[in-house]
Amino acid sequence: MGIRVRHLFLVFCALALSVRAARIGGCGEKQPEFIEQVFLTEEAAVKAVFSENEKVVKRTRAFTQEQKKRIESRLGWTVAESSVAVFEGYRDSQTSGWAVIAEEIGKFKPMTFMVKVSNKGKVERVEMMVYREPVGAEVRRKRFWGQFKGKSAQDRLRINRDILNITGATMSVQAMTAGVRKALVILEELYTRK
Amino acid sequence: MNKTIWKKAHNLLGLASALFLVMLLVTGLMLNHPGWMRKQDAQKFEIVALDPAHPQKIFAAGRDALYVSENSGKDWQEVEMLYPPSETADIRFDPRDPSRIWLLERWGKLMVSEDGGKVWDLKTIPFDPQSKGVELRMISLGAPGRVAIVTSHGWIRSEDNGKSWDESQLRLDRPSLNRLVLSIHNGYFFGSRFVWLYDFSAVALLVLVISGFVLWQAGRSAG
Repeated sequence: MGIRVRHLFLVFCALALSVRAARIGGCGEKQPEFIEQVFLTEEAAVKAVFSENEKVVKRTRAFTQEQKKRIESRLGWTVAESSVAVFEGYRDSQTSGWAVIAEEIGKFKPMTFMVKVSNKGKVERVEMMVYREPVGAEVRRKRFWGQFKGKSAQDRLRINRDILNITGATMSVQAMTAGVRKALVILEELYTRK
Repeated sequence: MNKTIWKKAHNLLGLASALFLVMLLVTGLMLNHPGWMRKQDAQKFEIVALDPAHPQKIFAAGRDALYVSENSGKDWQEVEMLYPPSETADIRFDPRDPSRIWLLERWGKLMVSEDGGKVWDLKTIPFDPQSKGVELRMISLGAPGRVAIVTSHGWIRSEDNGKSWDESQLRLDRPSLNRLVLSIHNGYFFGSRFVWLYDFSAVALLVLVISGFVLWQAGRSAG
């Protein structure tokens, strides 16, 4: 029995040390600084977020000075862009929703994803297009982005309160949450603000 | 010496040690998972900064957000920010232009507002504090455009409001013994998943303590 416990302890130590060695790039293998993973092209993302019977038109919408000021004030954040490319969806010549491509910095590199919003201003889908970090890609899973479904520009989207964090992927969670919030506010200012 | 006294002392010390172990296990588990305690700490302010230009205005940072009071702290409102700060280390007002406010996260970002805290923006730091194990501690503001950040591994300085940084006083190659010991102690040294293995061991020890106590009690009542 004593020998078994000792064996188990040794196996645990060996496992822990080998995991650590792998993490710091043991065996001379250096971990890449970032890995670019392309999950969807722009065309594929549009197909994924709009249904087949929706007609999609891509349009570049420039912000007026007033709109930009309002967006920045609502986000509490500087918006570097002066325009945004919006994919407008139409069903039977009625607007069915909009989608925008969001790009936010995760830990080091930007992640690119598409946010689809219904004509009521609520998130319907989030699709990861390009991910450029070695860790944190869990945010592309539906289990995570599903939390944004039904959220609107009126929701604050606070991490750990409105959106559950993923341990070990905090920066990616922050980036996607910020991107979705930004998309919601911009689309509301451009299309549904009364 | 009387055998009974030794036995009683042994039992008493055993019980005290078991209680001590339970306390260590429970607090260790909670320290390894700070999120469990975060809810009750959410409203606690870790940093407070008084606005030099507006006597009634105060900024305060909680664990996951920045708050502002316009009436000397009677009422507080969360500041709307796309990236709300977590674990704020410092908030500084520019002495020449108090509408420029700097905010530093302990393990992450440096942010600045040019309009008294309404709209914020990120400033790039030349390294990732979290992955390098470098704690950001303090901001220092000097002549126009001059900013310094004091870290656990030295300091960095900018002459152009944080656009570029002089890292000559930073020693990233110097390992922090304190952090190494801490990471071995909490399991993060081996990877974040190992923390759960540590937790499992802690719970197993807890079960051992409880079952030991139950067996001891059963032995006593059996005579």
